Amino acid sequence: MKKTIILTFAVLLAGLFVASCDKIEEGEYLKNPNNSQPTPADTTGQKTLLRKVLILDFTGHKCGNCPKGHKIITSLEGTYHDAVVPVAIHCSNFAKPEEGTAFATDFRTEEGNYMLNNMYIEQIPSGLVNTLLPSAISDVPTEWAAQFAEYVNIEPELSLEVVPSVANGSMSSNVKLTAETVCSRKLSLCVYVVEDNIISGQLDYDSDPSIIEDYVHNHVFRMSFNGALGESVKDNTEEMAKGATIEKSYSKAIKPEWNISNCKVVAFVYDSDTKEVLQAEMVGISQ
Amino acid sequence: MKKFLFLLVVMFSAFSLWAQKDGKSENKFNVSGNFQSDLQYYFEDQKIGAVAVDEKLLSNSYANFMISYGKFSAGVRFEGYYNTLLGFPNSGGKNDGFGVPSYWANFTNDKLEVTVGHFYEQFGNGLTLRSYEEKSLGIDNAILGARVKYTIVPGVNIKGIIGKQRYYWKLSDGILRGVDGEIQFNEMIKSLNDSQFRFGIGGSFVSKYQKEDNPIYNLPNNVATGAGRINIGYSGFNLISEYAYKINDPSADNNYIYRPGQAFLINATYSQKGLGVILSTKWVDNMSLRSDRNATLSDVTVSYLPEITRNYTYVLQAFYPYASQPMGEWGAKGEFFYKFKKGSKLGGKYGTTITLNYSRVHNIKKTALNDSTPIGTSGTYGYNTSLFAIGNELYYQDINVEISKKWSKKWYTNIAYMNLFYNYNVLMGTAGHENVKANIAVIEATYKITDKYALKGEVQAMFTKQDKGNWILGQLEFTMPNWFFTVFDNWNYGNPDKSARVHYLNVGFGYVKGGNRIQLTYGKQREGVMCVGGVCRHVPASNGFALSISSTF
Repeated sequence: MKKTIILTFAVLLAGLFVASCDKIEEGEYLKNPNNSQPTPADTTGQKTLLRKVLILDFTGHKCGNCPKGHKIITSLEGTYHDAVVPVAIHCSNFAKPEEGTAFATDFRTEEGNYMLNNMYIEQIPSGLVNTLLPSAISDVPTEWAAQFAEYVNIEPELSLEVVPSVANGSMSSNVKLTAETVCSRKLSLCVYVVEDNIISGQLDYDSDPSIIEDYVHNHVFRMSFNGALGESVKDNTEEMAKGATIEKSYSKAIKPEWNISNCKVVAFVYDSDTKEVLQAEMVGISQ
Repeated sequence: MKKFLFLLVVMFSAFSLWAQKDGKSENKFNVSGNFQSDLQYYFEDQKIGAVAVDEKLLSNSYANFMISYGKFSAGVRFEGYYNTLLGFPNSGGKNDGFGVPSYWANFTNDKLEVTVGHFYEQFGNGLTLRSYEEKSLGIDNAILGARVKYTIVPGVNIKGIIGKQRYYWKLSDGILRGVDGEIQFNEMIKSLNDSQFRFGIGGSFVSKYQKEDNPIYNLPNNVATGAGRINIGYSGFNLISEYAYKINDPSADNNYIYRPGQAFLINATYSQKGLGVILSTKWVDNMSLRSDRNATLSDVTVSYLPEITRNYTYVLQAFYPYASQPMGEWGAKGEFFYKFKKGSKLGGKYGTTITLNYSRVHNIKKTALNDSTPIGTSGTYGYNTSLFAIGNELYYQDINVEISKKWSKKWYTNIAYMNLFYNYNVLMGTAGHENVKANIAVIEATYKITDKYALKGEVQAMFTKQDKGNWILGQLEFTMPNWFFTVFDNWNYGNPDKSARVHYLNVGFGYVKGGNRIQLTYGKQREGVMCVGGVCRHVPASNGFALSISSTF
C-alpha cells in the first residue's frame, strides 16, 4: 500500500518537473524599458524609404478596455516614431454619446459605422494592422504590437507622398503613389482625415476613478475623401514600372467642429485582392 | 480531410484485429450517434434592434458518430455553419464553414484507458483544467492529443494529458501538458469500504507552452498552474475544497500584469430525507488561464471557475444572469431545501417543498503597488491583495424563495419570489449604467387533463426602476403524446421609453418520437445575455422562424 502511494506521488512529482514553468523576475518585465530602440528610419539625412504601418483602432469612449489599445499605440510611437500610422475609429454602442455626461461628444462617422458592420466587428477594442481583411481582426491590443513588428522591417514596394492644403472652408489633398519596384498588383487608395488632441471623456478600467473627463483623444477618424474603403486606382495586373506614379487629388468641406490645426491627412494604399496595406503616410495640415 | 478519414479507417481495422484476437463473445460492433440542426430565418425589426441578415437564413448543425467494439471505440464529429447563427462567436466569419473538427479513438480495460485524438477532460473542480463543450454558448475547447488514465489500485487513479486545444477550425497556439492524481481512501482500504466516514485527496498540475513573441514585454513561454483538493464526508455530510495557484501569466485577460493567480473554494452539503443544505464560498484572483495568452471571450479557456450563484430557469429570473469574474471575485451561497411530509399540516396530501436561496458576490480588495502606478498597469506586478480580502463593491446578490406543491392528482403549482441586485457595469462590461435592483415573481400551475394530456400556465413579472423597467410574461404549454404546443408573450410594459414597450410574442410546436425531435417556433427574441455555469454570451435581438431538428440513434 505504501508503495502505491509513494508511486502515485512520484508520478505526480515527475509530471511537475516535466511540465516546467518560467518565472519572470520583477524588473525584467519590459524588453525595452526606456524605449531606446532606434527608429528604423535612417538618420543620415539621405532619404531611406520606410514601410509605414497602418493601425485601424476600432474604439469608443464608453469602452473601458479601449485605452489599452491607445496605450499600445503610444508605446509603438515611442519606439517606431512616424512609422506608426494610427487611425482611431469610434464606433458601436460604446461610442454613442450621452448628453449631460462626460461622454457627450459624438465621434461617430458614417464611414466608421460602415466598417463596423462590414468587418464583422463584434467587440471593441478591435484592431486591424496593415490589412483590411476582416478575418485578421484582433481584439487584443498587445497582438497589434506583435503584428506591427512583422511589417515594419519589410522593404516597401510603394511610396506615398501626401500634400494637404486648406482654403475657403475646404480641405484638399494631393496624393502621389510611386512604384519602388515593379508592381503587378491591383491597388486601392484610401485617404482619411484624423484629428489629434480632442479633450473629452473616456472610460478607462485601469484608471481610478474609471471615468477620465479630460482624456486626450488622438488620431480620431473624421472623414474619408474617397469612401470608407477608398477607391481602386489600378484595377489590373499589368506591370507598373519602377518609378511609375499614380496621382490623385481630393477636396471636401471642413466641418465646423474640427480644429484644423490638429488635423492630419492619412493615406494608405492596399492590394485590392489580398487587402494587405502596402504603404501608409500621415501628414499634418498647415494652413 | 481525406488523409484523416483514411487514418481513422486504418486505426479501426487495427482495433478490430486486436479485438478479434481477444475472442470474447461480448465483442460486437455497435454504432451510435446523434444529429442536431438549428436553423433560423431572420426578419429585420428596427423596433427591437433586430438586424437584417444578408443570407436571410442561418444554421448551425452538428453530428456525432461513434463506433465501439469490445474495449475499443472511436468517434468522429461533423459540424456545419452555413453561416453561423447570430450571437454565436464568429468574429470575422471564423466559425463559418463545414468540416470535421474532432475525431478520436479509445481503448479501455479495467485499469487503463487511452484516448488519442480529441477529448474532453476535467481535473478536480476544473480550476486547473476543464476542456468541455457547451453548444448553447458556442464553446468547444476539446484537446487534440493523447490522454492516459490508469488505476494503480482501486481508489488510486492517475491521468495525464498532452495536446492543443481546438480554436474554431484551427488549433490554439499553446501546448497543454497536465497530470492529475486522486486517492479515495474508502475505495483503496478494504476495511473502510463500508465506513460512514469518507476521505479523499487529489492534486493536479497543468503547464502551457506558448512561444513568446511580444515586442514590448518579456513573457513566460511556460506557464504552470497547480491545485490540491480534499473531500471529507460523514453520513449525509460532505465537504469538498480546492486551492489553485498559477504563476505569472501576463495575458490579454489580466492586461499583461505579472502577479500570480489564486483560487480557493469550499462547498459543504448536508442531506437527509426531505432536507438539504448547501453552503459554498469561493475567492478568486487573476485566475484566467487560456492556451493562448491573446485569446478573449470564451475562446480556448483552460481553467474553469465553478459558478457560485444559482442557475435560474424561469425566463425573467434568468434575465440578469451572473457571469464569473476570473480577474477577481468573492462569493458565498447558501441554499436550503425542505420537504414537508405528506399528511402533515403544511405538507397536505402530497407534500410541499420549500427552497430558500441566497448568494452574494463582491469584488476582491486590491491595493496599488505604489502611488504612481494605477492598479492593473500593464508590464507591472499589477497590484497587491491577500487571500480572502473582500472589496466593497457588490457585483451580485439574489434572495429567492420557491414553494412547490402538489394539490391533487391533477393539480401542481410552483411559486417563486426573487430579489435581485445586479452590477450592470461590471457584469456587462460597460459604464455609466445604473445598477439593477429588481423583484421577480413567478406562478406556475400544471393541470393534468388525463394521464397523457397536460396544460401548464405560467405568469412571471419583474419590477424594476432601472434598465428597461418592468416586464410581464405569460405562457401556456399543452403537451400530449408526441406533441407539444407553446405560446408565450414577454411584454416590456414598463419601459421608460414608451415607444419601446414591445410584446415579444412567441408561438411554437414540436414533435418528439423515440430519439427524434423536431420543433418550429416563430417569435421575437429580446437582446440579452445567456449564461451557463457562469460563462456567458450576448444574445442579439431577433425576429423570425426557428427550426430545430435533433435525432439520436
